[in-house]
Amino acid sequence: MTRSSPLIIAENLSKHYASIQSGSGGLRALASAWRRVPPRDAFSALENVSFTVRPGESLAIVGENGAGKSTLLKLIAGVVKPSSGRVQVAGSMSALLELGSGFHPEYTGAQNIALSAALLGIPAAQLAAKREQIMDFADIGDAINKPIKTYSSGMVVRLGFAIATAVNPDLLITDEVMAVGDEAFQKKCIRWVEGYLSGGGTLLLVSHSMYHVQKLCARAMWLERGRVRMAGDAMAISQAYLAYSQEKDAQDARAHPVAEPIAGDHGLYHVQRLQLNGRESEARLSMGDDLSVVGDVFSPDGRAPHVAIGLVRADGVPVYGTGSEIGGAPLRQTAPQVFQFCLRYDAVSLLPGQYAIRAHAMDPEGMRLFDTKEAHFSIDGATREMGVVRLSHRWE
Amino acid sequence: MRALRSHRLLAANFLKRELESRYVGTGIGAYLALINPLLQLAVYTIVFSLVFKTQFAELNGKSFTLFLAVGLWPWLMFREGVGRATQAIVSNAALVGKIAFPRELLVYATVTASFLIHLAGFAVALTALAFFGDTITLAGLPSWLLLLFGWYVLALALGLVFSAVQVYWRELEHLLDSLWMLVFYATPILFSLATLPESLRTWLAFNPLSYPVSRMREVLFDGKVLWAAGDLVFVLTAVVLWWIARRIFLRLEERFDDAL
Repeated sequence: MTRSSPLIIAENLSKHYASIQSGSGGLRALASAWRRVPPRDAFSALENVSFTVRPGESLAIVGENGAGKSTLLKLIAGVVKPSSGRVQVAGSMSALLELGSGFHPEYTGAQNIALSAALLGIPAAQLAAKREQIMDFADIGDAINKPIKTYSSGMVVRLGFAIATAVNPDLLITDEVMAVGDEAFQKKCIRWVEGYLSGGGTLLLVSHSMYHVQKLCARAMWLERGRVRMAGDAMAISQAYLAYSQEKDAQDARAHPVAEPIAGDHGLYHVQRLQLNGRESEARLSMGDDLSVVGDVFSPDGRAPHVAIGLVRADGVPVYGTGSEIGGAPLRQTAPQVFQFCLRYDAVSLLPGQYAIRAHAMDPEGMRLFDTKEAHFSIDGATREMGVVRLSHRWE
Repeated sequence: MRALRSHRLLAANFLKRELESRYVGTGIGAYLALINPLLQLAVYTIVFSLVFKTQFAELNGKSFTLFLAVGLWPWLMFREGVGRATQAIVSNAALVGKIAFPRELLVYATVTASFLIHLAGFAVALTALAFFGDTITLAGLPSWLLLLFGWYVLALALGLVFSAVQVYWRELEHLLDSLWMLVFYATPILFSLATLPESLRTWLAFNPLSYPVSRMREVLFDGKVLWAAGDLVFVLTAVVLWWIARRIFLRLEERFDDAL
């Protein structure tokens, strides 16, 4: 396999977009397009990206929003032309780019099937024979005869994937599409992609799901602001990227604490005060310490409100949530409109790291959730255990 | 042409869709394709033939209606083909931004659809006229087809350039709208060059559309000169213009995504 010639060759790909709007300055845009000079105020979406993909390989592209992932896929799919550099794809390709891509919004599903067939050079009759299979996979019923623009995003992806499965291209390009649609359909897609890959298919995947990256791809490339930050083994890249984004999320959370509700008696239920072990913020605990969560909830009508308490990791992964209503623990009135809660976690067995407590004020019925107040804390300790929490266990 | 060959199916799909969306399914389709041109023909006939009593040597006893018909339909194909092609890329922005395919196919499909539709209308109109005794010179058909080919290629060339410029400069459409009227009267459709005074004739000869329109009428109307060396020159020029137009289109195409 490694000796076969590459399926995709990308050399020094760059893409600049003009930030001026069309319409005004139309003649200037025309002139600069003709003279092939960079547009004024060019915005660089991609800068000198090179890579090759051989048949049977699968490459994941990861990175934050705006890193240039979608632009790169569009360049490879041939939808846009590079500002400089070269890209070459030697084989048939199905591109499931951003939603609705590869489809004519005015055409019906059935007409789009014919269009896709024509694009891939497959006689419509040949694809019609696979119509059953496509309809089966897409499972969108009569919507097949309605224009694509009336479809939900999930339906578009279903149809796109269904066509891709029917044509079995040399190269499959997917941009976040596996994150759309219900779980059953996602599983169906993943199963199909796995079969496609084991049958020698080549995959180019953009995903924010490191699970998909690790499961489906052997190699990965991490884009940052249009440049390649790291490339190599999918496992290594995805872990490096995860670590980076967790760290970044934590920084963001520290830089922008959740806005405090306006103090005073504004007319809604809200959490007025939240303390962890007596501190408003940045409480530090060691593994196994107790954690007390104390606070006040304002009640505009003087009825006893409820409170919901969530414990999350710094990157937002929920760890545990409960509430005064679930626990049957009414709040104590300390002033005509103020009610106090006190929740105690004994011997917290969270693994070392950054966490936060989120307190949500709820109405007396425990039905509606009004606001969120967040307090961060950290667990110190040295351990090589992995995960979020130490579950009670013993080796036998 | 290589793009056309390898994307035969796609071109056919676009053409089919173009024909469908324009004339099939909509009740007004038949009207646009045939009734509208026939109405124009009727109006011009009444105005020039009955009101102004237009009469010139070239008619040679034949009807003015036939004279008009053989000039009007080629004009309609061209006018509508190029006019719609100007919008071909812009109005398919959703498709252009999302699928990779040779964009020129959109222009070709639009122009071809217009030519096919008006060819059909032309055939119907000529048949109808034949019932009233106004028959064309069938011997002129081969040279007419050659000229039509050049005419078609010229429409493709203009369509390519206009559609690409329109992407960046949307005012083009409005400019063209007013120009088309001028060109219509500056092209020998309602009259023949021979009937014009010397001074005007020289000027109109500069209109590149004058020659093909005149010749297409001549060969069908009286068939006196079936083949002229100029015909070949015209067709070759059209092909060269198409080739140049295509270069321009492909160059401008590189930045379509910026402006759409």
